Amino acid sequence: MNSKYERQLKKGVLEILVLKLLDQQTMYGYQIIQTLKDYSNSMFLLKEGTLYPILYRLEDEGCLTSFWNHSDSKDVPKKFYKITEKGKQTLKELIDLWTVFSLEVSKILEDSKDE
Amino acid sequence: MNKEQYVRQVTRHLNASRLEQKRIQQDLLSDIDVAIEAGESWDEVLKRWGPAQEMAQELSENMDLPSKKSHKGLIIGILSGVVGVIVIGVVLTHLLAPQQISLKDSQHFDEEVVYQQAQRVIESMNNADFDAIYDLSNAKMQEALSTAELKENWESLHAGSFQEISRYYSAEIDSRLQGDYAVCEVLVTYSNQPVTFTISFDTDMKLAGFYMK
Repeated sequence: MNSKYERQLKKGVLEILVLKLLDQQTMYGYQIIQTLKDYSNSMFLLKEGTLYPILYRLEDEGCLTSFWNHSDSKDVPKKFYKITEKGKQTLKELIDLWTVFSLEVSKILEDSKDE
Repeated sequence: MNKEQYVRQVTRHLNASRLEQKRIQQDLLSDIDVAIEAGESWDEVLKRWGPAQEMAQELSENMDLPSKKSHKGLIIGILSGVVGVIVIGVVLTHLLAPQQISLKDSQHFDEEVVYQQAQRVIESMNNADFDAIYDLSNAKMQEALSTAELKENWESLHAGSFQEISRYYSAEIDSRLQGDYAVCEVLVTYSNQPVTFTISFDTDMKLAGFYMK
């Protein structure tokens, strides 16, 4: 299969997945990439060039806030992302949309299979 | 290449505001440090991320950044101080004006070495290897150089395929203000049109100025 199609399909759900992860836990960029990889059995292998534009967009729209954790310990400073109330509301709307979307797509694919 | 150089190269390929560039730089550098803290080596991170240009392309596409404008026939001046010094020297007094010395008489440059280095620069342009141009440059030039802009403007000339070096002239410019430079003017014939390169090297034989028309 042309990998471009797979890429396009996955791109459509990245915002909702990122919001969902951050709804569960405040995370930093590298952590989001690793968690998504682990949760999806490596179906979603996000690169920084894709993740950061999503985070910036969500932050600029008020769905996320970010803060640097300049720890006194020897750990390197990390930029954490946290979901806002607006982000939680957006996530809920996107999940509702996804539910209808996946249902309708499945229906069409099922109908096509029957033919 | 170290991580700072890599990240700088990424943002140079982006047509983004200074604020956006700074945000991206901070985040990428932080991610590198976090990956290394997690046990990856810098080489492993670099392999995972790919060339800086690819990372920049991915960022550009996902951030909907506009591509850099190309100006057909535009003359590009990417200098690290040589031409500016020369202009100042002419306008001010004769005492401050740079002195031109034949490379045969130069105490700082070898004529053959300068020619070979100039050839290297032109070969890099012929091969569209703009990262090589960056690597050949001194620190000041690297700060000023945008490989993305260089690429767009080179492509806008539509010079065609390399034919031959038609004319070559070089000299040492002894500037009282900024030191000594070897300056080459090279007329190159391409299949579509000739291009004149003005190439300057500092005493470490690093690219200090680059101009083409």
